[in-house]
This record gives sequence, structure tokens and C-alpha cells, in this order.
Amino acid sequence: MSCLPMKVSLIACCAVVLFVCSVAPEPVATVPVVAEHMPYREAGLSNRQAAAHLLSRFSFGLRPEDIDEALAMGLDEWFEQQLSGSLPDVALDSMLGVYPTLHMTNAQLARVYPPPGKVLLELMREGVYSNVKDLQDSSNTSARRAALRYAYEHGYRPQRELLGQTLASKLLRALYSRNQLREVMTDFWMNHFSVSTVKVPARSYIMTYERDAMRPNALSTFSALLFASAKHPAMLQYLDNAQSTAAEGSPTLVSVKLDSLEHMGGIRGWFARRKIASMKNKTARMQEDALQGVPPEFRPRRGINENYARELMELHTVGVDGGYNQHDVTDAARVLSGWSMMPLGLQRDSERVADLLERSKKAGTVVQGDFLFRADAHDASAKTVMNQHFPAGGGLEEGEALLRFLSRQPGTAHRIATKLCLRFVSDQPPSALVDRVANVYLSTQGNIPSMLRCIVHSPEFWSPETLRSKIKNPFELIVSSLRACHAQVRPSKELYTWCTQLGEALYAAPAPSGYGDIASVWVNSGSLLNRMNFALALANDAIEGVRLPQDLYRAAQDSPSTTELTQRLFQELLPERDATTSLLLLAPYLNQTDSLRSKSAKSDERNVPDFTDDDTIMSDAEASWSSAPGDSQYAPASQRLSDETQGARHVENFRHVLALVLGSPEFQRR
Amino acid sequence: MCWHSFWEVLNFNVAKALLTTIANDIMSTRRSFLRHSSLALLSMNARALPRFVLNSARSLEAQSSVSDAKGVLVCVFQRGAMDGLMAVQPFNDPDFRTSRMRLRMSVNEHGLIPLDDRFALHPALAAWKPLYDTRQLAIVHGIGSPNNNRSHFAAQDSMESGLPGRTLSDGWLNRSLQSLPDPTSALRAVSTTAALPLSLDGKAQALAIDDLRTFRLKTEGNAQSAQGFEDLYLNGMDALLGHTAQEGFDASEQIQSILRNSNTKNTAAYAQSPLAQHFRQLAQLIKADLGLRVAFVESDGWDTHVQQGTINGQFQRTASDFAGALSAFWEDLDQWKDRVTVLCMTEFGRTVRENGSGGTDHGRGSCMFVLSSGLREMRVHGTVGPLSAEHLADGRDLPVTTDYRALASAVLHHRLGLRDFTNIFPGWTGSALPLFSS
Repeated sequence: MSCLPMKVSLIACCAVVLFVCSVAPEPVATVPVVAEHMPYREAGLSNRQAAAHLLSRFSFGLRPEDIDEALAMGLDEWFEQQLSGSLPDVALDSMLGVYPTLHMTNAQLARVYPPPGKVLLELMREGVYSNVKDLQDSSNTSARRAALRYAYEHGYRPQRELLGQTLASKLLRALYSRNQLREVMTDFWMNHFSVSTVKVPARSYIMTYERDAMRPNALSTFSALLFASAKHPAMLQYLDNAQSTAAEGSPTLVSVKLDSLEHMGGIRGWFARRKIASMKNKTARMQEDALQGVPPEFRPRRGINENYARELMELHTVGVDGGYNQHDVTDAARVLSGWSMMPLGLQRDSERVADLLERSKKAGTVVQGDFLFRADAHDASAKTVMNQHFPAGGGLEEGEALLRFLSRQPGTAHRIATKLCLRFVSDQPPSALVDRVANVYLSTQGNIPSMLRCIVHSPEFWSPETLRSKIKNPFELIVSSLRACHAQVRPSKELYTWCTQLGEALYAAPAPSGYGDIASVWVNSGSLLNRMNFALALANDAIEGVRLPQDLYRAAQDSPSTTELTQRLFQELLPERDATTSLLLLAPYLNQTDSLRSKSAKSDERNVPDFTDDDTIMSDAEASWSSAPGDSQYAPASQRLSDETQGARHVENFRHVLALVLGSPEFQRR
Repeated sequence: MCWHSFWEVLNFNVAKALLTTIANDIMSTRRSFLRHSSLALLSMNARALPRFVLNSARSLEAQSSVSDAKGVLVCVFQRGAMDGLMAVQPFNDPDFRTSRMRLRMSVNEHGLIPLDDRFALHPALAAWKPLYDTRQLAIVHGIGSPNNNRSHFAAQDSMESGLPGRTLSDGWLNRSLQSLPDPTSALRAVSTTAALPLSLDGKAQALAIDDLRTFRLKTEGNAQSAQGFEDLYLNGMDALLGHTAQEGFDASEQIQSILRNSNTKNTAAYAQSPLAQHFRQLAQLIKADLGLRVAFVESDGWDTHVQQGTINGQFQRTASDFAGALSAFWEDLDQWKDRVTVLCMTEFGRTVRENGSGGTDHGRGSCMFVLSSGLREMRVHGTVGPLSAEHLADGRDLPVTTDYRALASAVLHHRLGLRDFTNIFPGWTGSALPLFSS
């Protein structure tokens, strides 16, 4: 249903105009390579400690071998390699190969995964059923079956399938990509230029938004991201700009042109008037045809929609104190009116629409991939935004000029610098550092690698106040836990449910501001209990699709005491962190466990059995897969192995300790 | 040994005082001890104390706080800016009708529910009409913040801070709690959200409880793991995480007892929506009588830029869910109604004129609701002038004629007994709306 208004107005815009719009090229930033170094020795850190800190901030979690690898290369070299973000990712690519949607185009996605509303409208048009109430009534199974059959016959698939594959790719990339920083930055920009499945018409395009607009530009420049997001169907739908048109009665590029034709004198004028009249007539009939079955309150009508223009200024660029008022917002919306998307996924009329589009290009309409600038919807009168004057008659280029203007504002530089420092440095980043990063933004036209280099070359990044000061967000916690354990992961719904329960619904931020990047957003008593519960579930192999590797259990057998095992796990899972305090705090627990263990060892000299018998654990785990984390009881898997042997006790003991380490305050920090 | 006969014999008050003292001693000893020492022996002793002694002392303590108190204030924030002109429509205003060609509604065609000759309720709020008729629902129209900002986030933050145009580090509800004399209970302030909203953030303890059922440590059958986590968090030096975990451990015991307690059973039917389920659990919390004073609930989906609709559409869906959840909650409260006041607020209203997408954009004044006993009159409060452009804010929006702090302070006074708002609403000199009869 979402593309309908546009289609109609497209039909309405069939007109003859000569205006040809040129697309201004993006300014290319020249990046000075800063020949500096990371000042960690000055801060008293060893090479290994520095590597651990750097990796904890610029990857989704580190293992001891990651430190070895980075040190072998040199930290500066490692960082540069990550900034280029172009390492081959063969293993990951083959894992992602099983998800067909990841390679689909927007048009294919719109065709196969349409919003439910659009299918509903078709069902009504085709007479599959006559009333919305028929389908809403859950007891009316025949109507539902008819609707499902219709969807199947037309090749429609449920949107949750697409979302599932998008989630799987996010998880697998974070876990296994060698270009960790590119994934971290993709996550960062997805949150800054947030789109969300909360908005139904945007849903079909969120995967391509991440794939085409965010990831390729995540380590390039801010304005590249800004332009890519402004012109992508996901953003155009999420913040409604696709529906924003010049108000009723305001001149558009098309109406201005038509007026001048109609007022031409002589025989040419007479022909023009005749032709226009017949076209208007034809258009009206086509419009009526297209709107058949649409209730009056949902019929398209002209008018500005301010949503995107406001958030563009408030959230994406200069910020709420950026020096604009309501008048600036309204005029920015007028500057951006007509920024829309191609009608995608059309089944009927596609040739007619293509023909109309081709003709309307003469009127100033511009097509760039799936982005569509509609001359018939663009407000042609003069506008003023933050003292920038846009004279009457401007087209696509004035919106591009506005984006460029906003991206060059000191307010934008400061806002982006602050957000980067919040993510990578601390919840209260030193203002001197923020200013330095903002200056780099301004001097390099928003070059992202330059800003990140500035951060790691600053002493503030290595200061004692910065080290381990950030609380991991839920996705970071989950991925870093899985990475630390070398868990084998088959993406499962339960993992995303955990993330939601910890407060971060992936691809579903409730508001266009995305999620905050500070501890107070994530730390509250309920979510903290659930962080411990996640550690318990993971350690007990009770999460659907997640298995701990056998090597880990071996560590349990090799350790002579629980105290030693705990020490070892802290070293493995939290490399280069000082575990002394945690071990001291756990002393009573460990002493008690060890004394029990030595008692039982004397009375039980049997051999260690093969306690990680695949079938047993898998079948039990599978039985619990269908239940949500909130419902299941995490009985340790070893208890299910009914074997009261020392081996089973080893495993149980190991699981307790693993849960404590993953659920410890230390592990929540990076 | 039968404890019931023991209670009958013993003077109740003596027992109560005795048990409360013992329990307080034990708990404070346990906490301070756990914080300052890593010896485990004594903490094992505290643990060894029968759980029922601790629990009964806690509930006695909680009961005493409720009997002295004036009950529970429930604040519902309708995020996204509710179109107050759609919820409670000035349905006879000629400019209103011409401003909304696609969104206009009538009594005959759309089932608008007239409240008087000026205002009518949207049919999605039909369940509230009987409450309005029996003086249990108050409506204040043309209300909002004097701050002329149409950003959701800035407007919500400053409204929740209680200081128009500014964002503070703590919220007005939290500062209200700070001025209440009643004893601290782990469940004194609860938000049914995943994270604590700014309104409840601040020095006074407040919990975010998204779901009562999952608010616990799942170490089934393994007391040792639980002890391990307590040792790591409560004795350590991580102030932020340690403090938060302590709140969690304390509250989770009480919450699990609430779920076992038969007095907290729901007696009304709730929908399955997240909002309805939050209200269902809130009713359980209130009935458990464990010292709850302030609760916070969030309602989403009010940002109707596109296809707002009339009797179908986004507004209708959101409003039905909202009204249905609140009605079920109100019915469920039963004899508790007299102790509960619900205040529904939203950051601002929406444009008088509909936009090009069958929706409305960010505006100024909206309307707010109060569900409570003790309301003085049955009418739409506040001032709504004619809706022609010259009477509108910036020529486009319903002007704010009532400061939301006038409503909030009336509710704070009525339900929490507060009189002094100097700290709660800094710099505000207005007076409370005379909504209540007492």
C-alpha cells in the first residue's frame, strides 16, 4: 500500500518539460596520513595490555590469540588494516551463502517480501475476501487459508523470514568477520542513522540499507553516509519523506512548466492547452482506477511531511541546539519535498509506470538507482534554511546542497565527535579530546578513519580513567561472550530474544534516535540479573543453536583445583585483565568447592567418562529450543547426564565457574 | 509447631516490632558486612536464617508503610506525541473540520462520543466514557510544556526533568520520592520498562522491571552459583554494577513472592499487547502491598505522521490498546482504586491541519488524562479557543494554555500528599489545578 500514493502522483506528473537536472558530484576528501603513534607506553601499559585495550574497543571481543596476531603485526599496522576494512573474508562469505535474501535487490525484496498492508489491499481488490474484518477474525480459518493460498501463489513470503536472515548476517559478521572494525562501525552508523522495523513500510529495505548504504561507507566520510541514507528507500520510508510533497496550491516544478506552456500564445499555445487538458483528463481516470478500494482517509493528498527534515537536523547532523527553528524545519522539508523512491515490486502497470517515468524525466524528475526525485512533488518556490537561501525553481540539487551544508556545520562535527568518543573512549569523554576530533572532522571533511586515528593517538584513550570504563551494550556482551568461549553458533531466534531482553531489540529501535551509548541506558537491576542469566544459560549449553567447544571442557579436567580453573578461565576469557580482585571475592566459593572436590575425589576413583556425548546433550538442548529464555529452567546439562561420576561433577563445576566469569562485573566492561 | 497459634498467643504489635528489628539488623549487618569483608562465615549465618522470618518481617514492614501512606501514583507516558485533537475532539469547531478533510469525524458516521456540546471522545476511547460519567476520569485540554520545542527527544527529556527547556540528570518523579517520608522499600518506585526513564532517574531508589517473571537469577538448584554472583557483585569495588546488582538481588526475592501470593491474582481480562501486560503486572505489584508509591508505564505508537486514520488506522490501533489496557487495569484494581491515581501525559500535541500523508506533524498543546477517585467535576478542563489560524501557536498549532506542571502538582498533592514543589519543579510559581474535591 505504501508505494501507492507515489504511483498515483507519478501518473499525475505525466507532463512535458525541458528541465534537465545535473547531479552535483560528492566532494572527495583528501586525507592527510597522520604520522603519529599510539601513546600507550607513556601511559605505562605493556604491549599486550595496550593490544587488549585497543581490541576491546575496536572489535566485538578478543581472545588471547587475537592479541598475539595484532602484536605480531604491530598495533599501528593492525589498526590501519582494520581502517581499510578490506581483508578477504572467505570463511564468513561461505557461512552467509546460505541466506538468499542477502543478495537480493530492493525491487526483488519489495516483490517477494511486501508489507502485509499491500497484500491486504490486493486481496480486497482481487475479491479473495470482501472485508478486513474477515481476516482479523482469528476464528475465520477459511478466509485465512484463502489469503495464505493467494500469497503462496503470488510468491509472497513473510517479512520475518527476511528479518531472520538479516539478523543472522549481523550476528555471523560480528562473530567471524576479519574486518571487525568495519562491522563495529557499521553497527555504530546503523544506530546513528537509525531505521527500524517498528515502521512497517521500511521493513523490506533495512537489509539493503545496511548492506548498500551503511557498510560500504562505514569507514569513508560522514557526508557519504548522509547522502546514502537520505536517498535509500529504508530511510525515505522510515521518516516518511517518500510521502512528502509540495502543499496543495504550492507550485511544483511541473506545475510551473505547465503554466508557462498554457500561457503560450499562437497555435503552439493552442496545441499545448489541448494536449494538457487531455492528459489531465486521462490522469484523473487512471488515478481513480488506481485508488479503487482505498478508503478516503488513506487516499494520497498533497502536503509537506516534516518528519525527515526535522530528524535530519536534530539527530543526523547539527543537533537540537544547532541553531534552527520551526521555520527552518518547514523550509528544509520543502527543500527535500519530492525526495522519494521508485515504485518497486509492481505487478501490474509496470510498463505504463516506466513509460510515465521516462516522460516525466523531461520535467526534472531524476532516477538514481531506487532513489527518485519527483519534479511533480517538489516545491518550486523559494526557501530559506538556517540563513541559506534557495531561490525559486531549484530541483534535486538544492536538497543535495542542504545536505552538504549541514554536513559542514561545526555543530555536526562536534556532535559526531562526541558520539564517536562516547562509543570508543568513555561515558564522559574529556572535552579536549572531543574538540580535537571535531577539528579533525572539519579539516578532513568528515573523514572517518582520520577521526578514529585521532582518538587512538590521543593520551586520553590510554588513560587509567578510560581503561575498562565502558559497559558493553547487549549485542557486544552477547557476541563477546560467544567469541571468548569459541562457541559454535548457528544463528537462532533465542539469541536475539536474549538481546531484546537485555534491552537492545536489534533493527527495532523504538525511536529514530537509536540507542544511547552510555552505561545508564543498559545497566539497571533487571537487565543486570539477565546478564547473569545469559552467562548461566550459555555456560549450561542451554541456548538454542549455541554449543561450547570440547576444548573448554578439557580445561576443566586438566585443572587440579577449582581455584586454578577459575584463574585459567579469567585469563582465557578476559586476557590481560587483572583478575586478582575477582579471585579474592570468589575465595569463599572456591575454597568450599575445592574442599568438597577433594573429599569426593578420595571416595571416587573412577575414570573420567566421555561426558560430552553429542546425542544426549543435543537432544536435550533441542527439546528446550522452542521455549523462550524467560520460561526455561537452566538445569545444568551435567545433571541431565544422570551419571554421578567425578567427570560429571567436573563438568558441572566447570559450568558454574564459566557462568561466574562471563557474568562477572569484569566481563560486562570493555 | 504451628505458627498460626503462636501468632494468636503473642501480641501482634510486639511480634511485629520484634521481627522488624531483628530482620533489619540482620539485613543491614549482612549488607554492610558483605560490602566490607570477604570472610564468608558470617554471611553464611545470615543466609542460614529461615527465609520465612525475613519475608514475614519484610511484609509487615511494608504493610505499615502503606497504611500510613496515601497510595500509588501511576504515571503513563504516551511517547511520540498524542494527537489530543483526535483523542478529544472539538468536533463543532468549523476550522477544525476544514483543517482535516481526511481525518474529520462525526457522531453519526464515525461514532464520536460527545462529552458536551464542544468536545467528543474518539470511539477507540469508548471504554472511558463510563469513567468520565462517574467522575473517575478527568481530561485537561490545551495542556503541555511552555517550552516551544517540537523535538520528541528534547521535549520528553525536559518534561521528564520537570524543567521546561532543560534536561536535568534526575526526573520530577524521583525528586517527588525524595521528599516522601515513608520508609524505603525495594519496590517503592517501579517502571515497567526495560530501562529506567528519566522521570524516575535520580537519588531515590527506583527499579525498571520489564517482566516480573524474568526478574530473578536463574540458578535453579544451585545456591552456590547465586552465592558466587553475590560475592562478585556486592563485595567488589565496581560501585555502579555492585549497587545495581544489590537492588536486583533484594527486589527479586520479593517479586518472586508476589507471584506466589494468591492475593495478587488479576481479576480482569487483559489483552496480550505489551502495554496491557505491563498494566497487568502493575496491578499485581499494587495488590502485593509492598510499599509501592510511584509507578511508570510507557505507551508507544502516537507519532502519527502517516495514515493516522479515523476509525481504522494507526491512531485507532494505538488508542484502543491504550484505553483497553487502562480500563482493564482500573477494573482489576477493584477496592484498590481508592488508593491509585493514574496520570497520562504526552510530550506535545500535533498540527491542527493534516499533512500530505494523511497524518499530522509535531505541534504544541495536547490533552492529558487523570484516572482517580475524588475528582471534583465532570468536565473537560483547560482552555481551548477557536482553531482559526490567528488563534493558533505559530499559526498552526493548538496553543498551550495549561502548564503540565499545574496538573502534575495537583496529582502529587492528592496522591502523595506533597505540598512543596520547589525542588520538584524548580522555578515554577504556578498553582495546582483544582481537580480534586479534597
